[in-house]
Amino acid sequence: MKMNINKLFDAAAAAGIAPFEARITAENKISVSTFNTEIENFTVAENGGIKIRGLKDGKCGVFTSDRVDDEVIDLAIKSVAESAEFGQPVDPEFFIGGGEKYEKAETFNAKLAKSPASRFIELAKTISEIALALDKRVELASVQVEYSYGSTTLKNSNGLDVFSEMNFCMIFGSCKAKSGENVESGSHYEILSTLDGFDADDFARKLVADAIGRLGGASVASGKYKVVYSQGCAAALMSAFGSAYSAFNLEQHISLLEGKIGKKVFSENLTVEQTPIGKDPFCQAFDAEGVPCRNGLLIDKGVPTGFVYDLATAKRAGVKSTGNGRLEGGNVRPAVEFVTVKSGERDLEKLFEFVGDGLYIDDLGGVATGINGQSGDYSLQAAGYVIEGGKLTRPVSLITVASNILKDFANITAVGSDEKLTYYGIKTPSLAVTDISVSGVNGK
Amino acid sequence: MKNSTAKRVLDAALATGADFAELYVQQRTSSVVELNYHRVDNVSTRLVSGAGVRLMRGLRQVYGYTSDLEESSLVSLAEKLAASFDGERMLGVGKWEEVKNPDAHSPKKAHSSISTAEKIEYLKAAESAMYAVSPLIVNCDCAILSTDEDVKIFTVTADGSRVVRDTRVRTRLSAQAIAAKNGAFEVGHFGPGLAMGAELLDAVDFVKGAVKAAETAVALLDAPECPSGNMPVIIGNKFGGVLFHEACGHPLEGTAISHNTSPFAGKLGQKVASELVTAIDDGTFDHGWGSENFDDEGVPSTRNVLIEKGVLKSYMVDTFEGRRMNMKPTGACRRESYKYVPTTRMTNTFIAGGDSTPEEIIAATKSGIYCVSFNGGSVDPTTDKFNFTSSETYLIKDGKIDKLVKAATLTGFGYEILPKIDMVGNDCELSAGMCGASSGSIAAAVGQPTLRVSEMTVGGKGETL
Repeated sequence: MKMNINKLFDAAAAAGIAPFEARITAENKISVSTFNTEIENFTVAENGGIKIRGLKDGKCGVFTSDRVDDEVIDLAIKSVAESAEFGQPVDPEFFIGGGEKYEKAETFNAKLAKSPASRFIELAKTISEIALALDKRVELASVQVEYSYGSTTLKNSNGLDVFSEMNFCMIFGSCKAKSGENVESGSHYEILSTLDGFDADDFARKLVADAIGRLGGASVASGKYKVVYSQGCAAALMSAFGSAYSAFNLEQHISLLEGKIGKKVFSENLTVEQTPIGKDPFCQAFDAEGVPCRNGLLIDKGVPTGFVYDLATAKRAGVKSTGNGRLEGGNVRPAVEFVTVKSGERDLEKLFEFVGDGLYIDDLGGVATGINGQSGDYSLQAAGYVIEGGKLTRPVSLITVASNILKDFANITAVGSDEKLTYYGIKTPSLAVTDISVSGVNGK
Repeated sequence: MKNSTAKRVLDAALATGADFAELYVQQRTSSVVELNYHRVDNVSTRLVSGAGVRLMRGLRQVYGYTSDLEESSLVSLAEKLAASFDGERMLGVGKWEEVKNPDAHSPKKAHSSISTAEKIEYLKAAESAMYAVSPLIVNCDCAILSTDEDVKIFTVTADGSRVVRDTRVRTRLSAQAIAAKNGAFEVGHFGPGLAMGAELLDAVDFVKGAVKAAETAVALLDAPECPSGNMPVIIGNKFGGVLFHEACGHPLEGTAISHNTSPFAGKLGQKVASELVTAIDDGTFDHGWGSENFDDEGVPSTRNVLIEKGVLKSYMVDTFEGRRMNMKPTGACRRESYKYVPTTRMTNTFIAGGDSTPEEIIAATKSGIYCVSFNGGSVDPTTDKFNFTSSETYLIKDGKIDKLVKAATLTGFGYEILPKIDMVGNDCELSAGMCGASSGSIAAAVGQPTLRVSEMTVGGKGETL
């Protein structure tokens, strides 16, 4: 039994909840994973969910459920009313009506959607087989191919009715390499909107190289280093910085960008753009309030350009919403959307030449706990390679890197041309940064 | 979910030769009451409701999930999964054996017994006390998080058809303070949690813990950087147990052992740690944050001694990984929700108490750091490289606590750290945490007494010690 949405809206109206909003989501997933050359796990999913919000006596209540059928309606309406009793007053105009003009976010690929499960199974097995055959030191390989589809319908009692859908395929490989007593793990992933042109050989080579290249890794002397952060590492730092753009955090005086708008506080090499309108899977045409999203600069050649707003913070600040409303718990708050860091002109080899002597860090451990998003301070386990004379000379392991994100943004000396879509929902190239504190094992 | 529905679903699932079939049905209500920005910021409820069907045939596993609990949808899902195998039926669903639930962690006070208004008053006391600590406190967040979960797990194997019901009630409190000075920010946090109902609110001195969190945030503003380099590290009790959780707990999970991707694979009976170390994963003790009567594949929780006086005694095992390991499950197969394939996970994992007092450990340390509390950490189970981040750290000089320093990351190989534990305290306590891995984010307690590692790599921003 599926939920009759009209019945839900009728029930809300009868309970005096108005305006009222429902966000109905659906997701499909096919996931295949190998252990060496055998398929070990296969997962399929068809799931849904609903999140409703509405005003009762001017205050906002919220309820979320995975179950989307008529039996949930009573519980949902009762929960919204209870939540609203203690909720915050919300301006009814923040439940916008229809008629907005939306730019197109091309996030759905019909051809990918028609791919049969056998295609994903074949892909996972092929990559595993190639990886295991590439180098005798590779003892184990596991490849996961996961296809995801998601759709969102956002409707409210003021006439808003918008729909979006997206799909993508994420291929994630991991392997174990052993040489003598030395064991290293390697990983590689790609997020794809299409499988056309996907090169399984190239993927397997990168996966194996990630493990083999790390074998024999040793520490370095503790001290200050010039560092090239890989795309994944750069994205981890960019992601932790995301809350600084929030106009809500600005209101609370807990934004790291307060007092810095329009001032050249970062390196001129750093340009960061919000890019929700595009062809990447993380793009979106409208935000959680149904407001159109749009592309725009966040940091322009080292100068922060402004904050991102939802309808409420925009009204308080006397500006227009930037289309950045996001539902967080029971509240809509402004949050930065799909971010792209502008690429430079140097490929990775030229970045190493530019740095001369330093470290290439392509693995950071503990990013969930080791970065203080509030202060920008971080101290993280790291691994990568030594850069000597402009070239990678040996793997580095068991070191920690410590710095502050604001300081790093000011110390970016060069930006790579090797842009990658990361699982942080951020597209970024590698970044060369100076003055990173490195602590090595045994203090060598 | 009726037994008759489960029978039809699993009969369809077993049609093509699966030798194990499971239907996991979950309904969980999570509620949050949260104060932030000097106001009631969030009063919300979330209903998680759905089912997962899991089949095994030899060393292959297929899984499907849906939030649509209509019988026709579940049968359709089961048929889709069964299509992954092409054998003849080996098993059918027999008479359901209902397994008795010991009901060991029942709440004394239901979440519904306390009103939202009462919860708000409870939180306000802590919020006011935190702001009163210092004008440098710019933001406080206080929350009560409660979950009420019912799971029903139907399994069919060659041993028969069983059904297990479990009710899991958990409550967690959270207080976070942000202090700011001259554009710099520091954070303090207090977050107790247990598998119990609203009685946790009476059992915990929430205001005291919240005030301590605020005081720590303020003190960190003026704290110097933590030194870097290799040094003796005293790790405090309670959440200090995250060291063992990351460095050794994850590599002892069946997932890593069965695939030979753990340095502890094949080492049962061997000495892997200092004789002072006895480590246990115990999903049974009363109201432990990670305690459950049954795990998420319906196996009773156990007290599993992993390391005894330095010798590796056991792994954590689930049914699927146990097939590669030729071992029986230990009742530690867990998942965040029906949306995740369950796998071996920790429950309440801790290092048992020793003989030294914390004061003796500090007095015996000429120079090093003392990490009282932590944010958390992570590990690569293949290499056993781990990291964890201290959030309240003191310098030790000449056997005395010297001064507070800023946060730092501690890193190393788990198998190298275990033998270096040279003093173990007598003050073992556990603390609540959330553990994230392939089967999602689950409630897992960590714990230990105060202990000392003779040498660890510390990644601070200060000078080498």
